[in-house]
Amino acid sequence: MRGGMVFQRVKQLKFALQVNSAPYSSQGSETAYRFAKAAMQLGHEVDRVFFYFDGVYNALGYSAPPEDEKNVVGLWTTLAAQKKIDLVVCVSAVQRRGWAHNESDNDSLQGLVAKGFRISGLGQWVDAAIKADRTLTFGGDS
Amino acid sequence: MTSAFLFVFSRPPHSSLHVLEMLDMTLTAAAFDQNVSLLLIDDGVYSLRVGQKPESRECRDVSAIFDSLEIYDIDSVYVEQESLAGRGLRSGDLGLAVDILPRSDVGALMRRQTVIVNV
Amino acid sequence: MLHLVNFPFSEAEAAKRILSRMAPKDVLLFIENGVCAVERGAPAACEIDSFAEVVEIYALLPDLKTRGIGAASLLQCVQIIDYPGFVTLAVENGPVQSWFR
Repeated sequence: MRGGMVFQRVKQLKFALQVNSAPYSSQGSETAYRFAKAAMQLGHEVDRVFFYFDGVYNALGYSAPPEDEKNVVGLWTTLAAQKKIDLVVCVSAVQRRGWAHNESDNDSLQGLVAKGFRISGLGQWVDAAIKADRTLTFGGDS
Repeated sequence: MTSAFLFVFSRPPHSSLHVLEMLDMTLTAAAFDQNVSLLLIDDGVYSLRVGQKPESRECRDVSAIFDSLEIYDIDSVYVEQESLAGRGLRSGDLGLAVDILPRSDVGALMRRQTVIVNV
Repeated sequence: MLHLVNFPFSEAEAAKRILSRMAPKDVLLFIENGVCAVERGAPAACEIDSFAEVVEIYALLPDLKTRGIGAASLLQCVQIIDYPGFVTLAVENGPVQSWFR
């Protein structure tokens, strides 16, 4: 089996990730989370994860699955508390889907946006992609 | 800093906001003065078809948005030859001047990019 | 470059369409439901097998395990990797492109 740990750690790269699917209707968000965690454990940087399309549902703060089930929103919140990682939810995608007014409205969003996430614009994604050595998108319908 | 961005459109327009949200990303990257190209493959080629009457369902005419790409200084719009032919379409059915690319050249186009978005 | 595929090909044609957009020396990693594509007897197993001469082919271990797919039932051309291996593939093979459904 080929594992990352067997390689010499010669290159330390900067990653930008994008999550485009909702947490429980597809595996994409969880895959992105595990990728981000593994990358940081190998010494790479994951500066920003941008949540777009139905990926914005990953930031719904009232998500509360039963205790014996996986809490995908909670995984991200915990990661953001432990590591330096910027979790950005796209404002226009959020507005289309009806769960926030605008990005200056952060106060009224308390609770609605899960801890560790912030709402901002697509420029944040482009900015991260420009600065990153690698940009990966995760998502899909299944 | 300038990076090469390729946005791959592979889904049909009008049944979801997919194409519109892809275009939002594309135009934002262009607004940051990046080298932006588009590639339309599979059902993505339907976005460029002329004669769309989206007002019948209160949709946006996506071909018109693609048409405005020139203003944003987009480098190139590529359409995969096999995807067009496989849907009975010709370049004359498209509302935009595009570069027709054979499937065998798609890999080479992708390898020239820094960022590829195919959602 | 690195191609990610997250769905199993339902037929040989679907596999050919995607595989023929890859180029020699590209790397192909099957993740999520995509890992079902590299089992022997899967709908496009022959196409994937014949493509192994052109690209390196990998499957993600946790996604194989979840779906009960053991190494013994995989096509011989497929190498198994874990998440750190996934990261390393992305480091060594930019850019990264997703073929998702």
